[in-house]
Amino acid sequence: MAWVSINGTEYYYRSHWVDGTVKTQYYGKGLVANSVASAHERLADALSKQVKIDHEYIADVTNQLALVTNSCDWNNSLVRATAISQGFMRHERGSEWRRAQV
Amino acid sequence: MSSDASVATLAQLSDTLPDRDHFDNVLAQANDGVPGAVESLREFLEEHPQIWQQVGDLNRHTVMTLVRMIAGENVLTQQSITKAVAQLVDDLADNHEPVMAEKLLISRVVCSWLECQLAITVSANLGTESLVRSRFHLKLRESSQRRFESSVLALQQFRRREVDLARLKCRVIRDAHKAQIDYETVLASEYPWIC
Repeated sequence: MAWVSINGTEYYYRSHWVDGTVKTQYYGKGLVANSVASAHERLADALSKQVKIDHEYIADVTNQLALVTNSCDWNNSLVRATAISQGFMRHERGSEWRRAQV
Repeated sequence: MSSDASVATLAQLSDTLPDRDHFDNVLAQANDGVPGAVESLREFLEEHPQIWQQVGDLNRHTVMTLVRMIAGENVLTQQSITKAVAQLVDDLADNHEPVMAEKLLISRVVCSWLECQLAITVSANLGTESLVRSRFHLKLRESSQRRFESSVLALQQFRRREVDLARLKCRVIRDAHKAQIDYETVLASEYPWIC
């Protein structure tokens, strides 16, 4: 609802969510309103570009770290396998290894 | 971060490993005491003797990838981190030649330590970056810290377990000596998994 038409004239408003309620701010009409609107548009464009860049960056780092995590998980599994084949067991993740009752 | 080549090598190495889900399934069953599962686990390890070597290679490449992710193209930083890693491995080995499982645990500590360093490095320009990135970096720091703590705990538990095993062996020697039976025979008959 950025532009509101009243009696054939366009008025520019912006609404924000502030402290649990919607606050609507009036910016004017005509040339002033147009320039404010285009400034807001540019700002929104820049923000969405930044969000896209951030998401790409996060996906890139996450993908690289996923392979690292995979290697660490293999380590865990192999060490667990050694412990279990040596006759140890543990009741829950992270708890102490105890000798299994034979 | 230009570590595409090392990431590709890591992916290739991961592909050569046995089926992860099957391995984890056998592990879970063995830990739960399902009859025959421990034997299946031993068979699995015997059928895949190269697995230790493969995971060891995977670890080396993981360390290299993390070093490149931290240092970028800066060769000097890469070398200093590599030196720090070698020093850390030496310190963790505690003046003895670690067995394969212990080597893997040490690698895990090193990897998670490097992950912590990476998280600190990428979140160095906190304040100038966007909120989305800051939140991601904060999560990265917290999770890498958690993984580091759990890897140190796992190494500590492994050493405690080794002490436990050594104590058990001493007891078997004492019992065998008392009963005047051959130690190897008692070990093979009562504790075959230690042999």
